[in-house]
Amino acid sequence: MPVSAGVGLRSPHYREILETNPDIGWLEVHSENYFGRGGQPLAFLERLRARYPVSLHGVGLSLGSADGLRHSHLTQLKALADRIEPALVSDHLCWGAIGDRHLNDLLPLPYTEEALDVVCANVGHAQDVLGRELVVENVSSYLQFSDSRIPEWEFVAEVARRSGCGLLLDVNNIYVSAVNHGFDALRYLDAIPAESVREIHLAGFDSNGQCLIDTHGRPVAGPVWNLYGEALSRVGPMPTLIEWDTDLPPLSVLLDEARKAQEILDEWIATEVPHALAA
Amino acid sequence: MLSLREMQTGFAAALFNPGASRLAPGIRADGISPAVRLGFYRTNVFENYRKALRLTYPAVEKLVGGGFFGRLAEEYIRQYPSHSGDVGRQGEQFAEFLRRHACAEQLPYLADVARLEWCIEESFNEQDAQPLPLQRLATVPEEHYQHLRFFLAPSCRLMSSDFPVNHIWDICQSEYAGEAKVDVAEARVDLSEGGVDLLIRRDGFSVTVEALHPGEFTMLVALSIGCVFSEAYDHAHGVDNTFDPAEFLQKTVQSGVLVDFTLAAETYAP
Repeated sequence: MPVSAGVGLRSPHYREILETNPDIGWLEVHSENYFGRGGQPLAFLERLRARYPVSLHGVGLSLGSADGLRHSHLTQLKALADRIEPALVSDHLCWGAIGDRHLNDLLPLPYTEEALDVVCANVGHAQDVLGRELVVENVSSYLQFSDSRIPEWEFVAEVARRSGCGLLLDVNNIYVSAVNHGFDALRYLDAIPAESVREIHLAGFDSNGQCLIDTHGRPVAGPVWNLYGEALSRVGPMPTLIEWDTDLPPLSVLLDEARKAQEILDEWIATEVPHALAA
Repeated sequence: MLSLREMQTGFAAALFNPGASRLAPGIRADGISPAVRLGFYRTNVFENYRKALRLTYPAVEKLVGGGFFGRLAEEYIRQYPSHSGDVGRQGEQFAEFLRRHACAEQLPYLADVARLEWCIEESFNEQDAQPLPLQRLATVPEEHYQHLRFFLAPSCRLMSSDFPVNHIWDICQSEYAGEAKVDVAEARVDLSEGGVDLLIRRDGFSVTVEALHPGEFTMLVALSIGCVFSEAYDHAHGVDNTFDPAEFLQKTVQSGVLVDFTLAAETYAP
């Protein structure tokens, strides 16, 4: 993946991107939107894949399910990855299914030794089937479990260490959860093993009056841009995605956000080169 | 301490039963009650499903209006759990739900409109297929045609309805987008005009909905369940004694409805 800014590809923007070839480093899609066997979505994705690196970002693997991964979901993901040859395959550090029921949401885990074992086993299973590294993203949360014994940042770091997965650092999610649960976002960043980080996500949140909610429906907030700088200072320049899902704006708005991220990245890349030369 | 499985099972049950937040124990209050915190997730989960249903069933929504559609969606979500990590599959049983719903008395065609929209959704995402080269068919001696077993393009769906469901669906398309709610009577769809047999399929990237003659429809249904050409013809001839199999074959091969064939091995020794 190029160390540059990318945008989340959503279907209303397919044609405009194909027609205008905007100067963006890469595209990310929700894997499940391409689980069909053919037709327009896959055809357009293949055309775009011929021009841009693509990252497959899943929302339905349910890496935290106590009863393991859903075989059919994993095989569909594998088939898609074989077809698209993405630069990265990622999903979330959460759960969304139990028994024969799917909740189709990113639900929080209790941070316990048991959950750590479950997640690491599931990540290992996914990596075996996919035959590649899986990249795992920290989620926003609106509640915490009284059984949690491990701080979230240690849990995330430990998943990467034990399972060998990569990490997708969602800076907006760290900010949202830090506000919701009253922890120090910098402490979170300090705990993340830089060598495991593969990608950064930026997005906008909303407030429901009691909690910040990760809606992906607004521009990236000021404090999140600041936290992004803090993240780069710890993990170095990283492929960075602008995510937008609800109230999708014109493509130009996404591209403006991506340019903003690119400018910040460029500053870090510029400061990194002298370091590299010195070393 | 609960096991992770117990926690997840309880959490899932509590999400779908607002009165049963106690099913999700172990949530810390931290200034906001656990029931309210769980409610944040309930809002998200129901919103995800409602959005997915709206995307798949725009005609149903136009027919009943946005408010009532939202209430139907909520009932459906509670009654029909999702079994897939792909939220787009969650609406698979919506037609069945509408068929059993009290609103079917006033809107008897609504379930069939939903069935049509699910066929369109499936067809849109189905596997691509290459057309069947006519030259290949020409290599088969004519006396063996009766033993041919044809295959429909993967994107083909066949459905019958007791209502002119294609016309009802037509009036709900984007040209009518100004209407918050489409009124079937105002749009002059005559429900007494009777039922239709439909072929739904993808032509390029677009899905088409075509009403077929009974013979043609019967022929395609028979072929789709594995009948050889002669058996399928017997069925088609049974419903329409003017049915012309040669014309049928030419039309369906040229338009890409039939995309492959085999010769039943036991009947053909070249």
